[in-house]
Amino acid sequence: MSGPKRQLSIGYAPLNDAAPLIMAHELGLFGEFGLDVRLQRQSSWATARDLLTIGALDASHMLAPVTLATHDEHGDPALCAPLVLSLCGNSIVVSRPLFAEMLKIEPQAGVDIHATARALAGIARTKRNAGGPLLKFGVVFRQSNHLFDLRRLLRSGGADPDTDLALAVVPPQETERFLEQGLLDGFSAGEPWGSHAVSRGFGVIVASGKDLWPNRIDKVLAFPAGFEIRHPETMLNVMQAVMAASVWLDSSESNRRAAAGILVDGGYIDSPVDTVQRGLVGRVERLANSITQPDVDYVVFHRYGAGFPWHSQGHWLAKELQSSGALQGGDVSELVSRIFRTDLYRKAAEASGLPWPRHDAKPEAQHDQNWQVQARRLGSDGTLVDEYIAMAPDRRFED
Amino acid sequence: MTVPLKLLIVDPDDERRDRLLAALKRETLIHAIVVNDTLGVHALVDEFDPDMVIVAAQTAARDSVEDLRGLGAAASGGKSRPVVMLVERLSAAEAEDALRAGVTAYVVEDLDLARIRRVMDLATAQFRVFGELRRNLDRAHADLADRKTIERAKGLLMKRRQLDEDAAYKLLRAAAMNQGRPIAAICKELLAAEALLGGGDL
Repeated sequence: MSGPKRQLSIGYAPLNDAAPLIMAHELGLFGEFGLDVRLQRQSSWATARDLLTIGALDASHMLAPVTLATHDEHGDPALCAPLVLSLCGNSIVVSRPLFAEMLKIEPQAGVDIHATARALAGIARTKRNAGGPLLKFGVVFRQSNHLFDLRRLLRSGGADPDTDLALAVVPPQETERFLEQGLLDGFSAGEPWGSHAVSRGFGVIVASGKDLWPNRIDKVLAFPAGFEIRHPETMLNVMQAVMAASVWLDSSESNRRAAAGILVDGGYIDSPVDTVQRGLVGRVERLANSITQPDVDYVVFHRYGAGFPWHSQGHWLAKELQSSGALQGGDVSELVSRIFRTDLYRKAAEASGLPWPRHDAKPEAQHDQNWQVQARRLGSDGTLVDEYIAMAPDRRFED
Repeated sequence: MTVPLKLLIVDPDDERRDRLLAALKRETLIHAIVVNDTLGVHALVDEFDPDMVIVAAQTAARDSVEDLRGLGAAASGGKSRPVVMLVERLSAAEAEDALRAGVTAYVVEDLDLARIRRVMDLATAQFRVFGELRRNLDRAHADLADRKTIERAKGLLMKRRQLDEDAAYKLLRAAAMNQGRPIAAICKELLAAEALLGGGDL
């Protein structure tokens, strides 16, 4: 091949957290690196995964756990994830009848996360003991934080998600009909789908990813394994462009608002701009017409070292995959380090003048206060500068 | 004696679905049912207990179908029929060919390979006729128009402000970032303003 690969197909799912990819395209950041990118909407995570593995997509917006659970015919990882696209940004939604039932048990359900967990778990247990249909939730894909969040919520309330919960994989755009027909009691999905349910009036957001575990990994930018060897410069440049978009997204509320407009007007997401904006600027209405506490960290793109593929987050994801049967047991360290390519992140950060964490792992879920991690950056004079990256509290609600 | 193959087709595109059905009708011993979404899949899968599910790759219902592997049959009377992805029965190249055309399939594990192949040949051919998703094609056309606009605006800046190509592009990109608007929109306005100011030679 002559010269580096400049024409690329990159997949995205029509969700708020595709914003770093879409803004890298729309703001001309890919163009600045001479990249000619075609963004291709993906309707199915399984298809995006398969298109990556056969090389029909060069990169894609992807559920982080999928990268750890996808291997080739020799059992080697088929994907790699050198850049995290987003932290949190998802919602757990219940039908209005289920919410009414929860309120009877726990008047603070929907407001206090522990009350929500107790109410949901209580109902799940009661249904199972009655021998009738189980409490049934929809998720977009099994290898997802959406499922892990739901399982943690029920477990902490005292239910066993393996026996007390029925699951169905249902695309978010169909959840309204499933809820209306009583085929589902709720669902767990990325924004804008929680806000969509609330603004359409068929659901109530009872928990966000942020409520359950602030700043945990959600989506990544996945590449086919070996892309970094075949097209090192291209991969570096794609990452640099996306990182610049993430910095831009996290630098002001007005940028988030502008992004919501572009995601909708550009035809990337089919929801009304008001619905998309709620999640992106962190003004999520949980009940229709309720007053909400703004939360700028409802979804995070760059702050708190968000882009770095922390091995400690990868370990946790791998453990969750193991406990839900999607990954074989055993030590996951090697698997995580082969897929969560911190070395490639550092290269891209260095080339962009952005700081990178010095260690591959961080203490997880132990902080009630702001904290910091050691970092380095390439100074403008070409020397390495030691500094810190500011981090936010990351305590999980059940701990 | 061969029993009819029970085939479930999941595709939201009415026209493509009907054409595939028409092509399959010419085949004997195929009993096909079509649905267009996940709700349809859920309503049918236990009752119909298909031997093979053909699903459009670019439809959200595919994730639901992938998750139903082996479940439908087990629920309908206890006879467990493990279901596998197409790639586990056909060669990687054949499965890839179908996927590139926009279709994939799930089959019961013991289904005759010749029948799988015959159905997939028809499906792949039909999907190929329909080509890429209109949405992605429309985007490609818009992107092409945008690229031309950006090139012209860049040329204008280079000429008017004596900038090299990189500097001109950076200026436009910085304006897009500062204003929170697509770079193509910035460029369009610049060209429109230039036309008003009488610089119509570009």
